[in-house]
Amino acid sequence: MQRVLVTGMGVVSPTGCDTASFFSSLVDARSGVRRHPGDAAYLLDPLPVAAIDFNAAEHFSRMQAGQLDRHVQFALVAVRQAMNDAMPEITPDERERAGVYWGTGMGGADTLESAYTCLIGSDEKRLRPLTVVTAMANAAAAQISIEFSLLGPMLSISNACSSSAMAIGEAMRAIRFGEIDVAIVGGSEALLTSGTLRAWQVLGTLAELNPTHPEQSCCPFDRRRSGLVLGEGAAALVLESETRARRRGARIYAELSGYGNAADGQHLARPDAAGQGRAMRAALRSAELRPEQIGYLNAHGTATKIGDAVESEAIAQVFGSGVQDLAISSTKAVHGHLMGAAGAVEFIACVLALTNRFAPPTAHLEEADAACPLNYLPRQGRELQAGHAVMSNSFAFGGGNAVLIARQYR
Amino acid sequence: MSTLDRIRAIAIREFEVDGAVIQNDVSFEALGIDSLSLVEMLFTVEDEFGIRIPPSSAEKITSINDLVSLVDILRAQLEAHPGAPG
Repeated sequence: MQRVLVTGMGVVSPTGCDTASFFSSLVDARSGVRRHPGDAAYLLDPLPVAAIDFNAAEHFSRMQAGQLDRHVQFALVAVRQAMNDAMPEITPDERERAGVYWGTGMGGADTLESAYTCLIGSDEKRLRPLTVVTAMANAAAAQISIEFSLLGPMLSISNACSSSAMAIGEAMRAIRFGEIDVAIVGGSEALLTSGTLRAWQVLGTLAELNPTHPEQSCCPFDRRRSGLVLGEGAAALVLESETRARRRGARIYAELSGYGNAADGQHLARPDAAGQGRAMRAALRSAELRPEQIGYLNAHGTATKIGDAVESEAIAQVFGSGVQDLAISSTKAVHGHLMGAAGAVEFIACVLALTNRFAPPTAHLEEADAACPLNYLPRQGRELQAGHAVMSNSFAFGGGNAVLIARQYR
Repeated sequence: MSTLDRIRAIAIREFEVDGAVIQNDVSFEALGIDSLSLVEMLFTVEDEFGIRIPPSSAEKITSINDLVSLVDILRAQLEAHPGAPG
């Protein structure tokens, strides 16, 4: 079996569009959440969102940009960062053993909504001819494989909030079992359109807008929490087999050593502590680690009433009597919930916690909730002990749970 | 403005093609406009001239010259039968 190493990272997020500024935002609890004015035509009330001020012209020609959904633009920018970071030098004869594994929740939501708006809201009904190939959920994976000539497996995984965690985990398995040597992995999401936001609003899971401090609207594990804040962005990593990375003398951030995937099998929207626990235990087994060897856990922590309480229960069950030694935080308080990109963004947060030996805090956590009695690092992070591993939880609507573990490579 | 000038303006504006290289006989391939981008280009040309290009005609377009000739034919048809394809 091959060990699987992280050799490059890139991020496009509401809290920074490079890994250094992203991580310092997490450590300093600088929020990327802002007030969205709403949209009367869609009955959309004002709400907090974590949007990116993104200028496509800085990255793509007009011809390219017109054929790329917003989430695919985020994806390509994040992947270019990760590839520039890793410089994996994939030669022509290695291409068939190089794959792309990509997650997205709603794929081309932006393109689809524009198309429907054109059909319903305009007299001409001039639908753009490339709507299908721009909106399809596998467009990001396809564009990545085309831009970087990756000829091995190409997978698009759509599993709501755990999409990109699963993409990373499935690539890890393919490298571990020798099917491929290198993979570009991650996820992207861009669903902050009026129609999609309205759909989330009527579901009743979104955070209320904090009228005086909109940037503090998302407060995971706090007694006052009222729901999640939707965000957009992308995160990408380059994974390589230990043999390949060492042969070329790559800089190694961490070892991706564990992946657990388990379904709740219970309910579409209500999370289940047993299913979450199965995924965490499966990841620990895969990493051959005991719970006490995890020093930091980046929680799913969306800030919904039920979600945070159920996750607290699941973590307490898995970590047992040692749970109070475990540093846990939800970084969604500042970067929002990036849905299909969330798992990858938060796994990068974990790798950066490991390399910086610092666990970022849970921002805006001021009033502890009795239903969330764990060590959630309110507003202040803490140093991470050398030798400890890190875990990232991603739990999805539909009951699909994915957990990743990284540790220092030695 | 001639049909060629208007198509050249679209290529420069929408596709960032160097205007100096756009001559009657140049192929879209040589301009760096691939088959998918050409579909987008024809969409924009339809709007510019108020015409509709039938798919059977679109398939045969490979050069600027092909496109200019087709646009002129379709515009002439439109003038002969106003409001027909719209």
